[in-house]
Amino acid sequence: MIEAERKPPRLKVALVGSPNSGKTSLFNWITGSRYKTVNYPGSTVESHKGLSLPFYGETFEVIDTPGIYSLNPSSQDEKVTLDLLLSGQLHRVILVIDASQIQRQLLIALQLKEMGVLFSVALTMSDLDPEANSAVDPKILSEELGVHVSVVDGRLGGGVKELVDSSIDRGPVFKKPFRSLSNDEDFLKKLTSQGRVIANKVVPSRTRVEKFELDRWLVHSRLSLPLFLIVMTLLFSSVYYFAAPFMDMVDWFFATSSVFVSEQLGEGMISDFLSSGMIEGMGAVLVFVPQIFVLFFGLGLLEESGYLARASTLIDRPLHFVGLSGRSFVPLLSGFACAVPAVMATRNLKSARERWIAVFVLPFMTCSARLPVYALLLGFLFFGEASWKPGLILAAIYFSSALIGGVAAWILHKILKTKERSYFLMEFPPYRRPRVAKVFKDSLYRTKSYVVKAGPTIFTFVLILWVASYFPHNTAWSESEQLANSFLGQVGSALDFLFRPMGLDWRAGVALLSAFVAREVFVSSMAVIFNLGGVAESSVQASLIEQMKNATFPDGGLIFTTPTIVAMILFFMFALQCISTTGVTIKEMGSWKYGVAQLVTLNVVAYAVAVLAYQVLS
Amino acid sequence: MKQKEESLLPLSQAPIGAASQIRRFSGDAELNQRLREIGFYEGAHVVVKSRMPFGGPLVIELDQCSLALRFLEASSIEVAAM
Repeated sequence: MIEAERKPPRLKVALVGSPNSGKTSLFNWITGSRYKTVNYPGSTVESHKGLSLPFYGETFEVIDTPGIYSLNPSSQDEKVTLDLLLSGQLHRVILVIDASQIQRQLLIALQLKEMGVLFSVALTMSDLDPEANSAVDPKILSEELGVHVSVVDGRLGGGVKELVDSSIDRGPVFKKPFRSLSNDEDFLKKLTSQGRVIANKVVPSRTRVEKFELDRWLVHSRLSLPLFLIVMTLLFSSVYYFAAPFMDMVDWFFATSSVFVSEQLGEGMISDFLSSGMIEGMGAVLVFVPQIFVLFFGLGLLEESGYLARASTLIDRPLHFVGLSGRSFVPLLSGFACAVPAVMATRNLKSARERWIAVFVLPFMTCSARLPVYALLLGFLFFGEASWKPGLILAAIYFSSALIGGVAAWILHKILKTKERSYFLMEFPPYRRPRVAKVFKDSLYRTKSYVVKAGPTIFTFVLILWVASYFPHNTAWSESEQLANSFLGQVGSALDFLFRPMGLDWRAGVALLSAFVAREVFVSSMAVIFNLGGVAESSVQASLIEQMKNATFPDGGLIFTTPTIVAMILFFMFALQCISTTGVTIKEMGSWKYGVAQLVTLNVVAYAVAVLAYQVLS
Repeated sequence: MKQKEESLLPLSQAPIGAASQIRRFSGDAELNQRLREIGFYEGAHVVVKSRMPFGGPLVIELDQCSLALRFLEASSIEVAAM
């Protein structure tokens, strides 16, 4: 008891270093947590915090900071690190230096020294380039900098224990910086040249290592663009190709369960709720989980390989034209998985204006929540036809959505006049062979978090919709009478005037409105509303499409025709129907006006486009 | 006098694949600072490895490292052919 009371507060240790220096790998080794290491400069946008594993002795807190080139605060990232250093909360600072890039990474070490910060150095990435690493002499580096230096193998974890032992237990106690850095160019010139002098001493015989052979093709003046298009096509077509068998399995499982439950429980409210409410509602969405996994896996492989930095460079020119830069490429690309982390990733953009535009157009990127929606609608349009047809249209939807985002960005770029200069300096990380097992585990984890996050929302809405469509209940009513007389039917009918111009009846309209909670809820709502008769086929999806084909207006006209489906697809392409995205946008941009303006603009445009499309086509 | 005669050209004009040496930075203070921070310095040897299509960024090799700069940024780095 007395022992515990005397315990000093838990040590706080910050890992500081350049982009790609191996901070996150080191963080993972110390904490055992599974944060992704992304082989892309500037992938840590937030400081991750974690606790050290018992293996390293007494528990301490580790903070992984965003990668920086310098401690002159010119971007959000650098400010995050600088603020942390100035906060006075830290007990230890570990500067992570990539041995193969030592010349350029010594600047931060010298700046820390200038500021009067006490720190120790972790020399990393020995795994990548053993020759270059052995050329760096940690003893000389330690003497030159006057700090402790430990060699760490980021991939295999060698040397981490020694680093912790030497810098955590006996390392220097952090002192609040007592000098701020001069902004003077001559001063910077002095520090960088000092860095080079030290680097030359530390690496006596620099042997040239060609690490960028692939760049001969991948950033070739002429070949790079076709190769980029091939890579992106492969990524998106694999989402369909590899996921298909697994989707069939999931679909079969839910359809069978639904039939099984209704057979076992017989007729009745509980049975009806479980089989046509819960199981089908959940199944309609979960069937797309394999696709989401494949997308995460593909993006993960690209991230790890180091190609994304090249791709960002390749795409810089067109993005620059619409007021963005290559730096926006990774946030925009992650927007294809989910807009929420993508909005957070825009923190990495140096220019506030670029960030403003990027966040505004991010919802145009086809996120994975739209995949279930498009898959259902295209499944309807091309029912029983060759699978390449919906695949091709889906590709066109992805492409034109991105293009629309580009046009929107360009419009904003023209409206928001500026004198601000935009920069693009992109460091290419060395290519790495992606660790497939690790990427697999990461994608599984991300998919799981997606399901865990979306699951309760879908569950709640399925519950609400089912209750609203089941009550008030009268056994004498037919199924359609039941729905029309239910609470849901009464609310829906009142809003009928909104949906008619798009060619939809109130039932489809309610499903569309429910998508504002999360887009994929649309599919489960459709399943609950239209599939009340239960699964008649061996597939939830086929059964739902069958019901949609037979759905009629009170006057007997078919609801779901090519014009209405096209109108709905267009609506989903333009609309911002995601409360989480708006929430995170308001938080990240620090302005609810921005979030509301974006929400209103995109949805009004979406509605107008959908109505126009329907009116023209029908 | 002799030094002045050395012909400098912006890095953006340097032929692909040819090595050159950085002589000076002619951009504004902010750009110069960024270039220095990322590792450019007077005397450094650089090679333009490729130019991205449609007037996109240039891929530059500097001290065993590859990085990309926009045309305009590369124009502010003055180099001498080696």
